[in-house]
Amino acid sequence: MNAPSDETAALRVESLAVRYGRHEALRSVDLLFDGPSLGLLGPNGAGKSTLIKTLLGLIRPRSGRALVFGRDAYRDRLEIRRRVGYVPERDCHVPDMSAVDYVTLGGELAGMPRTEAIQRAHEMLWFCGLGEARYRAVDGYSAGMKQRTKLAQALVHDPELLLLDEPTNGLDPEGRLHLLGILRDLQDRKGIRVVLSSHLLRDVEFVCREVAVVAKGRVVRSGRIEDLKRISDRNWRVKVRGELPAFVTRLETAGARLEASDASFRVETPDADGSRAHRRGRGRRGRPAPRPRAQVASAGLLDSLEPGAETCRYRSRLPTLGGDFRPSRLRWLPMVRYHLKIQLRQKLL
Amino acid sequence: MASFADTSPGGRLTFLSGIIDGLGGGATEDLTQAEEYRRIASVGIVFMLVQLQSLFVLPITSVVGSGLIAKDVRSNALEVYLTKPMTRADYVVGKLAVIACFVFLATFAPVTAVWGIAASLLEGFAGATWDFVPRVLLACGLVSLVNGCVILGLSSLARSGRYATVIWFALCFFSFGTAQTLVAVTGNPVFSLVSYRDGFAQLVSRLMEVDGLPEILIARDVPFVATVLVLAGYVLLSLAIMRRTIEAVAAR
Repeated sequence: MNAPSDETAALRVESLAVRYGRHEALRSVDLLFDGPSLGLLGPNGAGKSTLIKTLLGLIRPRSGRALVFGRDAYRDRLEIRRRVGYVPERDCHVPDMSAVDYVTLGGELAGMPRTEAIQRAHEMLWFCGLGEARYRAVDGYSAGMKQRTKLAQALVHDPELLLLDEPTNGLDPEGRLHLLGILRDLQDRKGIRVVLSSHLLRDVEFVCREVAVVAKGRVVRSGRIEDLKRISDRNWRVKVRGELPAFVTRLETAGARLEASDASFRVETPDADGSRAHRRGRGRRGRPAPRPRAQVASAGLLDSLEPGAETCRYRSRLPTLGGDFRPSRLRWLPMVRYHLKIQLRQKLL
Repeated sequence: MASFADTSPGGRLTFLSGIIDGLGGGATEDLTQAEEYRRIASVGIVFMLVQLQSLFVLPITSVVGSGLIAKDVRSNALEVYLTKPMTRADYVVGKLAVIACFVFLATFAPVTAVWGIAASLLEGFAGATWDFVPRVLLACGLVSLVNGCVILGLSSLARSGRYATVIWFALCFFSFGTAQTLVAVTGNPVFSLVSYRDGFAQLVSRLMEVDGLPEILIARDVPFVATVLVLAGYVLLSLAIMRRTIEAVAAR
């Protein structure tokens, strides 16, 4: 990540913890972002949306602090929201309202004069590809059009930072590419910083230059995507069937980092030759592309250690995002509660 | 002219005929002309306000307010509002203002129009009754505030305005029936406060109270403080419900 010298970075999160009742949604999150684009990558329930909502001042942190442009996200939330645009994950529109009215309303709520808000609303809807349909009610829009309407209302007040929560959910491939193209254009040509939350690596890769991997309420990795990919080439999941202590000792002696999880280890092998290890080359004259040096070195190390233990190598990937949930003994209870809730809502409310 | 304090079964009719007599110039000798205007106008405005409130305010509040938050919750528009530079209080005040506009249109506007007509036709009327407009304004404001808060609280509980409407009318009719029963059984008029609608009637009649107003309209048998406390309770409870809903939506 870029390292801003002062506290005026676009985002600065320090030891942030957020809790919903007993559930810890965010645990000691640290994050620094001052570049053009950041991807928040993680599975559903990892805490990405909670982090975004905390940055918007919708949720009060239990401890730690979140600064947006150097201002406290909760205390100065109104000031921050003037400088930030937000695209929510779910469909959200004011019923029976046309797109142009909806976007204008967004601008007026952000403090723009009505005339200017109307003018900007038209511009933003054209920019997002909804020019022809802007007088139609948003209720009748397709999923892709609704997403673009949300984007237009987030952009109408000319924000410096755009927060997007899973913007490509429910979009067809064409709509997805169109939306991601707009996001890339925003950071490249308009100079708007983009924070994109997604569980799709390809979306984040397409739009963002930096990434923070969120899992179980923590930021487990953050940095430039290229750097993280290099780390990924040295990451292995190893299952040992044999003399375990000897295998572990040998790996540690060789400089590898081990992290135990259930029946397997995540092994990060040492980088063979620094930055060059990451370089990927295209094969000449139709030859297959060579394996990255780091991957070759890692494979070599693991192969050399095989005599002590039987290992299975899994494909290297970004740090694991799997859950670690303890099932309750009363497994039926949530089901009953859930059904009661549905019945009460449908029949009474 | 009939006594204004007459609370007999035919008292109201006699009293109304007294107003007509007063307008025709047959007022009691010992009252000055200005006092007579003031009394007649006060009675008329109180009557109109109370009647209009009963007839229009409840349905208008229901039609306008029942879907205000429910629709926002259902369509997730609340999330958009909350992420704009506005506080949750701003959001609630905005919704209350929508309701207040319609309530004022049904109460304040006609009453003020009647006062304006009377003031333009009768010499000395405006000077003698100058405080009516602020009183009506205050009464309408309180009616809008309490009704608005309650309907918004109910609206925030539901995902459809129809359900909020049903609960709203159930609250009005059920509390009215309960209050009537309790008053009849115990003989204690304080139980009339159980009725949501009667609370307003008492509040308005006390706010519009002027000399010469018949006792039948004032409802002094219920302490004013108790009325205010009950209505304040409705407001606080509704605000608590709204806060809970809004916070839940913001965090989900």
